[in-house]
Amino acid sequence: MPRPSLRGVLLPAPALDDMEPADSRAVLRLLASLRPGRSWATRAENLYVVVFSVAVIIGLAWTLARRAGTVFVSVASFYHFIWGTPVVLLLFLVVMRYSTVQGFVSFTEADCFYILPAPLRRRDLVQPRLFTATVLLGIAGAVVGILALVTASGSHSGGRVGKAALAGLALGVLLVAASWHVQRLRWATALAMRLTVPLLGFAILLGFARSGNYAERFAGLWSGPWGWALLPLTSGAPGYGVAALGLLCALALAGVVSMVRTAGSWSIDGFRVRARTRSQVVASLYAFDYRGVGQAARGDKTQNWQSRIRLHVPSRPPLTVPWHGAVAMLRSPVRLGWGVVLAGAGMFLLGYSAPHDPLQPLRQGALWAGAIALYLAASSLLEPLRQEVDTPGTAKVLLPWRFERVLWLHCLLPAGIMIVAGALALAGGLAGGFLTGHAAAEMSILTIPLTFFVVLAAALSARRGGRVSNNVVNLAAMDTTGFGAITIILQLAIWAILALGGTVLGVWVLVRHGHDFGFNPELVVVFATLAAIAAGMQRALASRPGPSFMDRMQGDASS
Amino acid sequence: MGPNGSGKTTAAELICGLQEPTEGWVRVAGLSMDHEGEALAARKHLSYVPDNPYLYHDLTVSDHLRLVATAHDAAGDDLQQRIDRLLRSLGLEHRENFFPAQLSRGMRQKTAIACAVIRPYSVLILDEPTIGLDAASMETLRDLLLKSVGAKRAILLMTHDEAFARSVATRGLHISDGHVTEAEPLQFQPSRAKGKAVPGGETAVDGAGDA
Repeated sequence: MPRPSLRGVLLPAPALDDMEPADSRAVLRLLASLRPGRSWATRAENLYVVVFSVAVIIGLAWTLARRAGTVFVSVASFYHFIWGTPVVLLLFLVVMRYSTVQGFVSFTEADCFYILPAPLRRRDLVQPRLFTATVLLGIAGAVVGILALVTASGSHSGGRVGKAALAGLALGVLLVAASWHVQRLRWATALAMRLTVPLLGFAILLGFARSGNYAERFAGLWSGPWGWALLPLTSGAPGYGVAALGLLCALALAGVVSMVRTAGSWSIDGFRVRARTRSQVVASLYAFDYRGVGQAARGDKTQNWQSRIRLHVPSRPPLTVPWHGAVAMLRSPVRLGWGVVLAGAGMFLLGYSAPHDPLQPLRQGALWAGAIALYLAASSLLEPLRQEVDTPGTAKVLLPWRFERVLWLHCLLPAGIMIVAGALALAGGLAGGFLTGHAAAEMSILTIPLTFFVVLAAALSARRGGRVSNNVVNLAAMDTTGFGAITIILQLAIWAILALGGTVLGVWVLVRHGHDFGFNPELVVVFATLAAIAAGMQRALASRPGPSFMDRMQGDASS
Repeated sequence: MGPNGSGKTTAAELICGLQEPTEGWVRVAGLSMDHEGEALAARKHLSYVPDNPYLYHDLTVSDHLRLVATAHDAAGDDLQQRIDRLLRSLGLEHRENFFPAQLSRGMRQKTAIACAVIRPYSVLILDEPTIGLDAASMETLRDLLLKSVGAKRAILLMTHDEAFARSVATRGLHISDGHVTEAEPLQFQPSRAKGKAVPGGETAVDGAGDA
């Protein structure tokens, strides 16, 4: 069969001295006309759905927190702690972190191959997006500024309302400018990542400064734009408010100028990475794969560190799994460090929850925080197991044991690390006078069974790999009683809930009733309860691996 | 040519400005890719077919071609005729209004190739363009490349398919670990190609190219 002619298909090559750009507006107009679905009405509808959903979620969470009453007694104090400069700084931090993976200027992967490499003026492609983001965040900032003023001080005076709106607007503009530079500059992206922990620490300091004396509050408010934006809202010292507003506006103006000047200075590479991340996150969300969401958002920013320590492969086969865990931990020292810190902090807080006076109530905030820290430590140190679940085919081919044995073996090293870290934290707390002798003694008795119990629960949770099984998704989709979402949340969080509940119960029984060191029936109850729960877990372990694991195994086989 | 991971795609993307070089520089037709003024002109000369055909999920095949032509200032009055002719030559004439999700891997690849040649270019870079193509489509691609060579366009073809490369290329570069390890003249001679250059850069195709 003759092939069609190619005559007249190719256009003449461009002239070497042709430096004229193509018409960017024509391209953007064409794209808009080809995609009639992306009208302002559709965008407004999407915005409405998002705002409505967020409002409903916040409302539900607030109602739940209030109704929980004594359990969440510290919610109100927490709210007062972060309100003001810390919350504005945290907003900055959230926007900066968001800009390291996305940002306000985004393109699709196809854009990166067809539009961005075209001979168009680069600034023409970016400026409309920056303009839209600046306008939206500026308006949002102004509205929030007015609302904050009215709700915090009840003032409706025109001058103060105007200042509050201007401060919010300038803050919004500043956020867009900062986000743009984090997006376009690789070093700024790295800096935003590195500054996360120090800024979190600084936000805590600002929280303490708010409840401190005048000098501390003054220093907190003048420490950066997060405080300058609030100074015009405060009732005292109006001169300071005007000065801070001037500073903030000057900074926002500088931000606008820098955005205009650098709108044409960026690399396609950065937009491609972000476009790929967005695709992966969306795909993972649709698949109810929450670990996939996290992995996509982290991208290649968490690189393995080449440790100089070489660990010899053990001669006994079962020890190869802990050996693999040790190698993985040494290659990721930050994760190991967080695991150790959280384990130590968790055990210390559990001990601290016992008051010096046995007649006083337990410190519930410390108790729950300790239980959460302990679970997070176990979860963090079990990363090698999660990787095993990510690629189940590897475990099946390389390891000769049943999955439940592999899972058990993965628990050994994290449990060992947590026990040592917990014991050291208890000893340190006792030496520093933060813990009573009774509390330290009781917690040291509980350390080993409690740690194994928590690590086991975290391992069983890791078995699901942060994924929801297809059966549960189908069940939730067919559910008409409104409990579908709860089923999904339960499947994801059941082991975490069990671990937290078991920890709190164990510590409560032991600390409240275990102040003598003779035969103690409460102690027997604690160990019996933990043993019963562990036995139940063992039965769960003996069953087949998690459904998502099986799904992925089948996926591996078919591919 | 080179084994997996040797740096073929990285080299192609560096040349096209899709990746930033950690060191060194890239010039296309004597124009620096580092300075926006010159890079804009260089982008007029460069056309790229990626190894994975990234397409807009919400645009049809002809929408893609119209968009690329507009973005390169090549959407003249005869655009629809050129689109029809190109799609017919690539066997996509009945898929004009299909969305990428409705196309096979090979058809998406052909759409990406069509996007690369619907616009003017001096340098055509193709990264594994034969993946997913059937025998007839590979012959059409070969004709297209010969036609480009005949029209004095430079072709940079990254491929595992050595037989295909030897049927169109005048020079072979073997790359390993990011370095050119070997350069060899290949058997193909442009003078014996089926396409021949005509004044004004337009090319006529005769002989087996039409057969």
